[in-house]
Amino acid sequence: MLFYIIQRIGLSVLILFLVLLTLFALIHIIPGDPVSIALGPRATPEIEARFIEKMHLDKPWYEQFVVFAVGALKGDLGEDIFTGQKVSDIIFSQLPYTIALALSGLGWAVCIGIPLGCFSASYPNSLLDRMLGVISVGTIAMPSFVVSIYSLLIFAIMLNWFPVIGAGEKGDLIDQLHHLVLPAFAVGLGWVGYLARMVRASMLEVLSENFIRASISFGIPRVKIIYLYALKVAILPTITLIGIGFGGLLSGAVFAEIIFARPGIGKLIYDMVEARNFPVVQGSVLITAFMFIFTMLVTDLIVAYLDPRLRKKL
Amino acid sequence: MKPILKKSIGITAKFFSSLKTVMQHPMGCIGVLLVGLFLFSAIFAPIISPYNPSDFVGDSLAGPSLSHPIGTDELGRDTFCRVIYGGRIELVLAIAAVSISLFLGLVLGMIAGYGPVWLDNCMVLVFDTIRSFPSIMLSLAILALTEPSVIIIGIVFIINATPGYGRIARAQTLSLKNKEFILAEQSLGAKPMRVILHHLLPNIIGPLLILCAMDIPVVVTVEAGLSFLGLGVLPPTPTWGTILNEGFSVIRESPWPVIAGGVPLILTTLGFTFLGETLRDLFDPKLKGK
Repeated sequence: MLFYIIQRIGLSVLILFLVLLTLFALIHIIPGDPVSIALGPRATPEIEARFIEKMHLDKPWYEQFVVFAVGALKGDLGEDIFTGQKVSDIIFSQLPYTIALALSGLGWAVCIGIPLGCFSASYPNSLLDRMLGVISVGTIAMPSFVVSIYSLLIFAIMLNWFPVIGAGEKGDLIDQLHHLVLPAFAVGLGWVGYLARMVRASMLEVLSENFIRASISFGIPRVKIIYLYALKVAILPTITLIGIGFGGLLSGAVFAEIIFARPGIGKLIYDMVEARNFPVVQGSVLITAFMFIFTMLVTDLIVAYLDPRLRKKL
Repeated sequence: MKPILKKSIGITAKFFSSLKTVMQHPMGCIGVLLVGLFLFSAIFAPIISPYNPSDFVGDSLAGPSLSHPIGTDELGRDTFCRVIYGGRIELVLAIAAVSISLFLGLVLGMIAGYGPVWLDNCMVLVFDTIRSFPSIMLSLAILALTEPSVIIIGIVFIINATPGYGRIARAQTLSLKNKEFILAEQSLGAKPMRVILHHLLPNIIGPLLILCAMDIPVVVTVEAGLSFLGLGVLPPTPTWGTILNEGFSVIRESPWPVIAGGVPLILTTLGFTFLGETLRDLFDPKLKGK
């Protein structure tokens, strides 16, 4: 196990390094002059010169990369081109909103999706199971930003049940939760289907195993067997799915934040892309990629801990 | 009968018999109908649509009526025509982007799987690095540095999707590489190129084609999502994303443009997903439920 942990962490570090390199290379590979893209056509030569000096664009590329990588590892992601604020400060002021949204979206999906999957698996191929199957595929197929737009249209504009924009008053928890309902619904809807399908498939597999048959023959109630004994085993592939799905969760959150005009990392990146403020975009993408790599690492380690067979494959 | 003609009749017959099998499943039937509707409306757009998509033919933001089945947009253009013509752009973009990703993924994946171990390790590392960016973030980072256009959306999709195809092509190649029929071919003196093209390719392309069917709606969603954000295709070109983008800005005045942009997107995605799921269950039982 120790060897696997070291190997897996080594791989993550290597990937992180390549991610840094890619993000750095993006500015240089993509055709077009970063200076004129960032500052626009009306910038005077003095402003351009100051920008070039501040972004170290006058140095050779490998020196620029070292400055960028060392800074990033120290937690210094550079400065906002326009306001001069620290990029890391900007990102960390927005991050909690996104995490709250992603977790609440995932949270309600777990609460509904996993029981639905168990329920389907306990009555396989019944009419209800098939209907749930079609509904699951339907919710998976629905693009989350369309769900966001339609839920905004129906529940906020037509029915007026929920507020249209913003994240609520600071300090007023009820108001904030009220603002969170629709975005969380939109972010989580696809996950309900995903989780239900995944849990159903692995549950069906587990239910045919010997220890379950033994429990049935002991006369243990069916509900207890499914939700207590079988679920413990059947949940394993779902953990990996949640780990891998972090990226999808994030993209749902990006759109939900933009559509509901909520603060958060997605809205931040979007605004900064529009303003061509590349250091902030670079920093935010780096932070999210780092979170993604870290989530993958943790899920892989959890799964390897639970299932020793997987430790041999990297 | 000429051999080519005979072969094409054989392929057509096979296509119709698989279509019949797919149609026997309720989900596959819905899928085929929805995909058929999408293809039909995209191909015959000029015949179906009563107006030109960029002509101002009615009042601003009118509701559905006989002359405008799903209303008009803010500038008085017929929304129905714009949706139909939008589907055309989506279809061309999706086919182009998916084919290029499939081609690149196949080439890179088979090289990784068939080539030396060091090359394999390097390529897997590159694939994993690209996959470790949340795709929306990588797309936004690229878009921050480029001017919005249809081509950029295609490129963004290709960059995000190729590693997935590559991974599968590589895994399939690895599992076939040491099978008897490949070893026999090699011992007869076949060059690597021949082994790859004549023996590996036909055996690994099946699952990848199903993945392609399921990726077409992904391209459509990527286009719609990025254009909705104003970072993809720009108005006045009609695509489902630009219709949603323009509709969202007038969502308080009229719900029709947003409904018109979103419903075809949902139907197309559902159609391809249902079709892909059915195909996968029918032709590749190993992958069932994954």
